[in-house]
Order: sequence, then structure tokens, then C-alpha cells
Amino acid sequence: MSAKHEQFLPMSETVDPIAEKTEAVTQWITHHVSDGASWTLANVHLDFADANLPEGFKLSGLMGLLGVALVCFLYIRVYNLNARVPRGWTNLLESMVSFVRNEISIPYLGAADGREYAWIFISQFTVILTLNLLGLIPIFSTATASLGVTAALAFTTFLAMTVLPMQRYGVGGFFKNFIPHGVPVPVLFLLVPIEIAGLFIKAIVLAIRLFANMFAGHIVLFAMIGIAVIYGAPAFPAIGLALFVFFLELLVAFLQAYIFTMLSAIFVGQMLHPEH
Amino acid sequence: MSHHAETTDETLLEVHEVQAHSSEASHGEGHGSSSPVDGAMFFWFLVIFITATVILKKKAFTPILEKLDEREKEIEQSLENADRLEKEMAELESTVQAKKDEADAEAREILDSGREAAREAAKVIESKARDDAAILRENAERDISTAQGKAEAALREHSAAAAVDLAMKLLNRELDSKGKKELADQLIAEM
Repeated sequence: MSAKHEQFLPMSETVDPIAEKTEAVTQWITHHVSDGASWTLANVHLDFADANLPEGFKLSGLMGLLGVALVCFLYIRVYNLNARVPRGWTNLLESMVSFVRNEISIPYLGAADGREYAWIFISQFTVILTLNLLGLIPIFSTATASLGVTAALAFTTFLAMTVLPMQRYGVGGFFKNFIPHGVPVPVLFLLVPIEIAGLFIKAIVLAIRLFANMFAGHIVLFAMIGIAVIYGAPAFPAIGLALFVFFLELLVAFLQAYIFTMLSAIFVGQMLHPEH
Repeated sequence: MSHHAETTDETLLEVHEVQAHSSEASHGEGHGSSSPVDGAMFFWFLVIFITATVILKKKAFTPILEKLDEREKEIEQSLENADRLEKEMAELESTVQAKKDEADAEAREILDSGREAAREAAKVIESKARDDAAILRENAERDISTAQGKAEAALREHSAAAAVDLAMKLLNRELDSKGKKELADQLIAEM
């Protein structure tokens, strides 16, 4: 250790309030972004082990369950199927269904397939959007900031990418579609494994993209608030910045739901129509 | 969005560590796996999502999509009907306009013929009035001349009577004498 460093050693042994606060803020951020097995709502603390929830079921799972239940409640109970002219919630819910079918499913899968398989993408879009938005409410946590949840969502796309073409072309036909026309045989030895790997990579990328976006957004948001907590009044503009990031997160919530669904539709469309 | 997408491997590793740490803290044991994906969470959410999707497909999305198709058809049909009605309306309007033009022309014709008839009638009435006036004038002139004749005759008669009377008076004055009076009486008697 240099003499210069030794000179400052006694200073570092004293309690540095900034370092203490930074440590506390780091722990607070870690606690908020971590996927624990408990949920604290104001004064109520729900421990999953006490609630007899299944093994491995964590906060993101509970949030996922809440989000999915909310979507089911909205579409099954709140949506008025008999309304001749949709208004209010019915209008909002219907516009999402209509948007996904007309702007995502049909353009990327074609008119016939787009109509037939629209339900897959509507389900993905509504659930992801609900989970993203739920995470922006302070008492809730973002389920889509968990890689387990986004991987499960991406796996449904993977299932659609494999099962639907197999139903249409058969298992042999499905694998035949990985062989492009007019390519020399030696190139195929390189190309076919890449194409097959691409199938998995697409699904993995879907999961990572959604997870990373939602997770990073929360980290930035908490970091902004953390700066204000650590440095006090001089860092007050960070609160404004946090508010800005919050609205940005609101936009990201919609955008990521759209991007995930759109990419799913593109991937499924590619598998159903390999000639394109 | 690119700044989000540019999340580094380091961040992902940190997240995994955070999540693994949290899992250890809550369960008192680690996953014992190097995968960043929480397998249990993956399984549970997959079950939840697929179950919900199946329910939503049956109870919500299929009926909603059917209803949307139905409404789309209704709207298309309504638009087609509206187009058809618009065309019919345009046709009717042109028919109405043609009829109106026809009626206008007919009315103009009727007015013209009416004016012509009125002019003819006026001419007839005028000539008849002129004839009548001429007759009346002739009659009046005849009456006037008859009356003039009568008046002249009466005047002549009165003049004659006055002359006779005057002559009588003159004679009476001249015939004062007896002989003249007798002669006059005799002459008067002879007359």
C-alpha cells in the first residue's frame, strides 16, 4: 500500500454517510428487483411458504398469476359481448383484440392464418401489457422483469413456431422447410444447422429482449430515486428525471408488448409460410 | 429503446445473481443450476399462461373475434347499402330534375299558349267592343238625328203657330174696323 493511500486510511474508517446511504439504496434496489418468495403490501407481509404456495413459486409468479387473472376477469366478466356499440372498457378491450388481429396477426401470417391464430397473439399481447403495466404500480412487481416468466412466454411462441407448421406440413415437411431451394448440397451442411439453431435463438432472444427492457427500466427508475435519496436536495432534479423515466416506462410497457407480439407473429408466419 | 436493448451480459449476470440470491434467501437453498432462467418460475408461469390462453380463447377471444367479423360484415353491408342508396338517390335526383325540367318546359309552354290565347281573346274582345261601340254610336247618331228631326219639326210647328199667332195679333190690330173684322172672320171661317 502506498504512503499516499495510507495517509487517507483513517478517513475511510470513519462512517461516511454517503457510502452508508449508497449501500442502503443498493440493498433497496436489489430487494425491489429481486424475485423473492414474499410480498409486502404496506403493513401486510405475505410469505409464500406460509401461504402454502407451490415450491419455486415466487413473487413474479404471483404477479403473473394476478396479471393473467386480471386479463381473464376483464375479457370474460367486464367485456360486454352483447353491446351493439362498444363503449368504455368493452371498447378498450375490443380495440386491443382488433389491433392485434388487424395490425399484427393478419399482416404477418396472411388473412386466413392471421384470423385463425390471432388468439395466440392477442393472449400474448394482453398478458404482457397487463404484466408490464401492473409492474408500474408501486405495490406490485413486474413479472416480465423475471427471465423465467419471459422464457415461458417465449416458449409459447416456440410451440406455435413448431406445432402449427408440423400440423400443416407434417413432421417431415416441417424439417424439409429448413432446406432452402437452389442451395448447393455442401452449403446445406452449414445452413440447415444454422436454420434449426435460429429457431431456438429466435425464442431465446424474445425472452431476453422483454426481460432486459423491463428489468433495465426498473433499475434506471430506482437509480434515479436512489440518487435523490443519497445526495438529498441538490439531487432533487433526479426526481423529475425519475418521473420522466416512469412515463418512458409506460411507453416501454406498450412498446415491448407490441414488439414481443409482432416478432412472435413474424416468426410464426415465417414457419407457416417458408416460401416467403 | 436501444439503450434498453443494449443491456450487457454483465447486467444479466448480476440479475441472475440477484435472483439466485433472493431464491436462496427465501428457500434457504440455491437452485444448484447455472441457468439464468428460474426453472420453477418458467414451469409455473407456462402452466398459468397456457391455461389462461385456452380459457380466454374459448370464453373470450373466439366470441369477440366472431363478433368483430360479424360487425365487419355488417359495416361492409351497410356501406354497400349506403353506396347503393346513394346511387339510387342520385338516379332519383336526376329523374326528379328531369321531371322538373319537363314540368318547367310544360309550364312555360302552357304559359306561352295561355298568353297567346289571352292575346287572341283580348283582340277578339277588343274588336267586338269596337263593333259594339260602332253600333252604339250609329244607334246614338240615329237617335240623335231622329230627335233632331223631331225637335226641328216641333220647332217648325211652334214657329208656325207663333207666326200664325203673331199674324193673328197683327190682323186683329189691323182689323179694328168693323168691315175689316168681318172680312177677317169670313176668311178665317173659309179656312
